[in-house]
Amino acid sequence: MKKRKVCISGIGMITPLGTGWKKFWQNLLTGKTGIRPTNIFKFPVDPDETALHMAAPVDFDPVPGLDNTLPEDLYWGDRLLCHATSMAIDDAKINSLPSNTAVIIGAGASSALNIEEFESQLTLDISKNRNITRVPIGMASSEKIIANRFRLFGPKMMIATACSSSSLALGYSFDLVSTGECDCAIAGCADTLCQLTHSGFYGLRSIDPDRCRPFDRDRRGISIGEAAIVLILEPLEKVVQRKKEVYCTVEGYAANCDAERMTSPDETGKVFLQLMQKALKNASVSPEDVGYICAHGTGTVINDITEAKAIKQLFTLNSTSPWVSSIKGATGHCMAAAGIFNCATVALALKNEILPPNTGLKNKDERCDISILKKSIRLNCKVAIANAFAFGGNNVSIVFKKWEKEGSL
Amino acid sequence: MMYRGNIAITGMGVVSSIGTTVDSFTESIKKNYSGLTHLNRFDPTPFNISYSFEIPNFKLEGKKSQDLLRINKTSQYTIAAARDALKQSGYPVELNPYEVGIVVSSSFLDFSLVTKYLTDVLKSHLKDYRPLQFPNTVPNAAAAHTAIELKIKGPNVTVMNKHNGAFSAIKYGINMLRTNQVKMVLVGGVDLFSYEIFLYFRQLERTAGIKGPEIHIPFSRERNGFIMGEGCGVVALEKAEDARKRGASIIAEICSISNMYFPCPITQYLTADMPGAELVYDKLLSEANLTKEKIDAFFSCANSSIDIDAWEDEAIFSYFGGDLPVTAFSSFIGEVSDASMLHLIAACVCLRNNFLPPVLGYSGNPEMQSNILQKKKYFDRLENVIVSRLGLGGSYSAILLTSPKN
Repeated sequence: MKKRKVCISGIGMITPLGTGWKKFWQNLLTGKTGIRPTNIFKFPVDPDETALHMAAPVDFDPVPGLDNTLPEDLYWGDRLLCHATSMAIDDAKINSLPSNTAVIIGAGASSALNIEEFESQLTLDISKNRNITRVPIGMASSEKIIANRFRLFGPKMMIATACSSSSLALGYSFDLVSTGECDCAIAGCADTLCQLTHSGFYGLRSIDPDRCRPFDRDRRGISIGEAAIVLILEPLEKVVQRKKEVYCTVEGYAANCDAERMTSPDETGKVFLQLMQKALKNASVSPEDVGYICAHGTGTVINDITEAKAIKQLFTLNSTSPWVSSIKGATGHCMAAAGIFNCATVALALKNEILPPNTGLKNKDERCDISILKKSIRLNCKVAIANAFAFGGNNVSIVFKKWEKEGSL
Repeated sequence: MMYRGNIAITGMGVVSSIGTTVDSFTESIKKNYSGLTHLNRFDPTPFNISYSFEIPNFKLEGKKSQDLLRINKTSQYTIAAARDALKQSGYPVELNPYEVGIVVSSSFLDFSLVTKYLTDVLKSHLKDYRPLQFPNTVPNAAAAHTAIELKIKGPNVTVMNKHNGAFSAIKYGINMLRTNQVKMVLVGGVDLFSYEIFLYFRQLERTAGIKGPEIHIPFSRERNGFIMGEGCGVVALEKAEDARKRGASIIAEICSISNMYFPCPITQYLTADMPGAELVYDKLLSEANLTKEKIDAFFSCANSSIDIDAWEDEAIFSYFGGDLPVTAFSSFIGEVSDASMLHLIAACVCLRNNFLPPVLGYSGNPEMQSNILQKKKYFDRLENVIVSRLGLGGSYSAILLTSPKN
């Protein structure tokens, strides 16, 4: 069976830089950041530790009227996901989704467990000195909520690989559409700010007390962010037939695992290198064709050096190396949603022929010997990669191509 | 070209209430041993119940006690089962660890650990808090720990689909093989019985003892909900042609897998307007190029629920008639949610040994139309069996297993 060409036809975004891809893109290109002091974390903290309050909450404009149609008790993350899905479907200009549309959602600790709801209940029970009396009924149900809402009979799945969850959700959606198992896929994720995640990273000393600054020599870690990102994947032929412009095509992906430690990568960079090499091979693309990499770039010392090392090795034999940037200085690290956030960024970069900046970068860490974008540049890039690495060493790299009416490269 | 041939099961590993090795698990099935035991995991008094299918005193071998503190219980179960499955498969991971993948279904993680972690965070002064257990609160902990332990560097995936999670994981694993992402994949499902997960299903009014006696007897007249269990099952999957080429011993082959997804409230398993199961069975048989007459037995997903058991009895009877022998493995191990890979492994055990276990405790129910086994049934050759699962929020899956074609 011949595989179908797959494209991204719709984008729905709720981000710390605004709601909708236009607002996000405009703010990202001008170097704005959504990371700011917040008081949303409720746990007891040392008042001197301002880092505990730096985070990137969403700047959310609801889709008019949509909230009236959603259940009142819908968890915040799933509510955001419903809005982002609605935006993505509108953006794809699909009148009616095929009934076999797949819904593949990335899951994080916050989104999968409805952790905020759980935290509230736990706080109540602790204050009354009793056993936990209720657990969230909606846990691990986001994909079902979306499928129910749109009456979809296609494959449904939640994929949980921590910070690469949503990349793998997109990868699996790509497989389902390309092999003909479904005619459309909703790939997405909403991950929201929660104490579980923030406290954990704080305890690991991985939170930057200021704003996260990926690849900067003074970087000290991540800033937690939240986002809901949904992409619509369809067979290219079908989208072209209905005369809809596409953002880009998805060419292939790869996943692998460090299998070293739970909380830090294999520092040689070999595992990340193997990952990108395999993704390019699966996409039938040569490294010299790659013009841009949307890096995982979390802002932790080890992650950034390791990723840079792998990128350097991958392109060491080529005369040109691609531009690299991480969006996390602008959006924070949106955990399970981070991967598909990078994918959406790549799609926008390819379509608009502009590469976004590495917000927050002042002085490049010399150990990160790659071409990092301090400012956005206009570039007609043909091929780009979106990386996502995760706790437990669950890594995903996805290759995208600019869509040109005349054909591919 | 995408591979459409059979998928071979070349290794199995189990951690269950009826055995923590495949040998002891097999013996228990042969001897009709149930894993039902007194509930010790938490104080059940407020709920007026006494039983569970929990696993007493499990210890992951080969690990020091202090190392075990860093590996949560679901991960320990998964490592143990995966290690056995890998060993039985004889697959040489060390030759290319990137060619081997792991897919684990784990919807509820180690929820007690998450609760304890959050309680500590909420009670303590965060500045002084050392989150030793934070890495164990992530949903992918079991799959990741297993990769670290077995040094497997291929794709590492965790899926969440509760009762139907293990079969979703199988589907994902088969996709990995068919799209040439890996040469071999360990696919598992794990669930840990805990106060919180009991509470979850109790809130949904799915557990036994709320509206009737505290029993777990699928298809029975007295059934009123399930008693919960726990465990982990892992299978090693390869393309059958690859397994044969390397001379692996094939335990059973997956001819086809079929899933039906229907929009359904997230707190329910069934809706009045869901499509019939015949769509699933039609696809299952057509992909396997078999007729329904060739099916020898059915491992039902019946779990002592009033609605699920009745629905599947009707579905099986309508499609296959009243002669097809039907069993429900949950009568041995309780409702194990994500760990329902154990059902598939039980079916493999039966294929190898040419028998079908009864539904333990079942003594007939005039409301049931299918041929539900009250006693163990022996076959000259048990060749093709179907194993099914029904999930919360609308999904029904079936897998067609066959004896290896040697």
